[in-house]
Amino acid sequence: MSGYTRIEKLGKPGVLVCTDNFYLDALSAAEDFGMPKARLITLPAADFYRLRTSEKAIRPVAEAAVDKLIDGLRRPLSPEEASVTAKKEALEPVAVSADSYAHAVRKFNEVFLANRWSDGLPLVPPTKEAVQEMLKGTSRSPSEVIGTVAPKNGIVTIEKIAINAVMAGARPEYLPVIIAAMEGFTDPAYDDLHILTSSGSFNLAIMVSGPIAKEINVNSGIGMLGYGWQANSTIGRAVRLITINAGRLWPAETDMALIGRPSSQFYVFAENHDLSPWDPFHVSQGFKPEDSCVTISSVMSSPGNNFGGGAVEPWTPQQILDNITRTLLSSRPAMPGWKRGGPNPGPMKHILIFQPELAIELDRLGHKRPSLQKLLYERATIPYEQLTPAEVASVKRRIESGEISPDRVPVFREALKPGGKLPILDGPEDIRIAVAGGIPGYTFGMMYYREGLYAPTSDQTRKIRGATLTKAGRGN
Amino acid sequence: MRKSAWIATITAAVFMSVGSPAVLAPAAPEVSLTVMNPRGEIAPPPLLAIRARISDLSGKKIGIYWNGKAGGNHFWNVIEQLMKEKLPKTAVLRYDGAYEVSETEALKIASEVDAFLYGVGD
Repeated sequence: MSGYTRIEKLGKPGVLVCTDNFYLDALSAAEDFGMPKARLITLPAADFYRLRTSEKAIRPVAEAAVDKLIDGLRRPLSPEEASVTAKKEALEPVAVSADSYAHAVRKFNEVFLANRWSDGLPLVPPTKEAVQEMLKGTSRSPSEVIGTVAPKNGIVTIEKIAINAVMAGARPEYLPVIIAAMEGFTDPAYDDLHILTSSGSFNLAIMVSGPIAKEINVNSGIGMLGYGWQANSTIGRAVRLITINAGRLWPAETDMALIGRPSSQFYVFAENHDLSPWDPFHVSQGFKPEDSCVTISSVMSSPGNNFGGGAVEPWTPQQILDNITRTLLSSRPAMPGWKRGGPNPGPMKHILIFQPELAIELDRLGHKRPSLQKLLYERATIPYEQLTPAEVASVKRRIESGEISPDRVPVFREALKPGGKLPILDGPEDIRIAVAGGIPGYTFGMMYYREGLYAPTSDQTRKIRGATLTKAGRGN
Repeated sequence: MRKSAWIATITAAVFMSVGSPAVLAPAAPEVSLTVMNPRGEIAPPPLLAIRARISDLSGKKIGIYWNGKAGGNHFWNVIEQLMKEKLPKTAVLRYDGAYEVSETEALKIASEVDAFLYGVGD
């Protein structure tokens, strides 16, 4: 979409083509880029997706569209198209009244849902008093700007975070965690646009690490991704509500996830420091062990890769590491199409959540996080002699285009020689390892592209600061 | 808020107990709830109208940009064929790239075409 408006702004008339189901989304995106009257031609979705398998199949769709496309380039602008005016949205408080408090709350919920300020579940009313109570959880100024949320780039302040946290049912002591998550989420280097709006069901994992997790009771044990824990449920819900209300997200309009985003409150859990033999995850990201941090990470639709463990089948570390290696290699078929910024932007990154028993056993065998990253990285390789010409060409193109970082290029050049082994990942750091769950537990993984489609990173770790109601997370 | 609800309820109860039903309609006690707006402010980008169209495309160059989403190439290949049939004096130039078109790429395309079709495959 940015391309359409960029080229138009350079003085060239264009026609934006999309399917009819994406019409509102495209119109909204054109508005975001400053061209609300983009000339849009739609194709019937019911035909386009089904028939795009070949030129022969898609020909009727193209034949029906071509005259409209030519007309879109030739037909003079209408007066409506020639003039554009900015719309200013009022962000005033909202008052509702009813014959009882219960009915007023019901009415408030109806108004918020009708305005698309809700996730559909009942909300707690963000009265001024409730928001002030929430703000007691942080020493930071309510007017402090944290950043913006895609796609509409609504501005997120500490106060807006607090309002949405109240609505989500969060407690004031959770606020610094939600703020840290939003600091990562709104970092310009983090690609929030793709996971919030894509037609795929991409989603977000939010991991809390460090002493604050225990203080505010974020579940890190059995059932850590499930229900019943206020911190897990409402921290994620607050972040979801902020994305709705700052990003102006709405299903089938600006969020085009075709089957939705199961677990719309995201995957929130804590690292299990009591049972982990290793440093907290955030130490691997450059923070101090005693810090409390939040890591947000783009993930595919669900934490679906179960590598083993559990209470049903016996397991060994070797089996689990073998299963992980197979999953790391599973992205190989996509390799020929890897291209930065495209629909298949490049190699993956993996978040591996080790069950505590596995971590303890591997620790006994002498492993720490870095040695396991290296081990798995080196196992997930393909012998040069088995590479297809298309795979070799893809690696060469990535080297030449600068998509492989300069410090890693020698590794890949070496891999493209007889006897070489091509890594499926760009580097060992693309395997993130944390310890969570109970005993027994499962070892599972979540994956996503190492780079975003619209911004260079797909995860961020932020130190929690400014907390006032917990011992951890205080200070700057 | 609860306090005002109580006041409203008590006030209504007093009126109902002393007033004549013919004189005083049973006014429903009113509870009001004022809540803060959860939306983040949007700094609107500078708005622009789209560019003037080209009435006669003869001798012009039309660019087609495709972002690589599978199958979109088939559609655009047929569109290119059809445009060459319908506008034999118009050249068609093809471009493909990422979801986002950088400023550099946009400048290149804009310098090479007179008009363009932009389709993302969705």
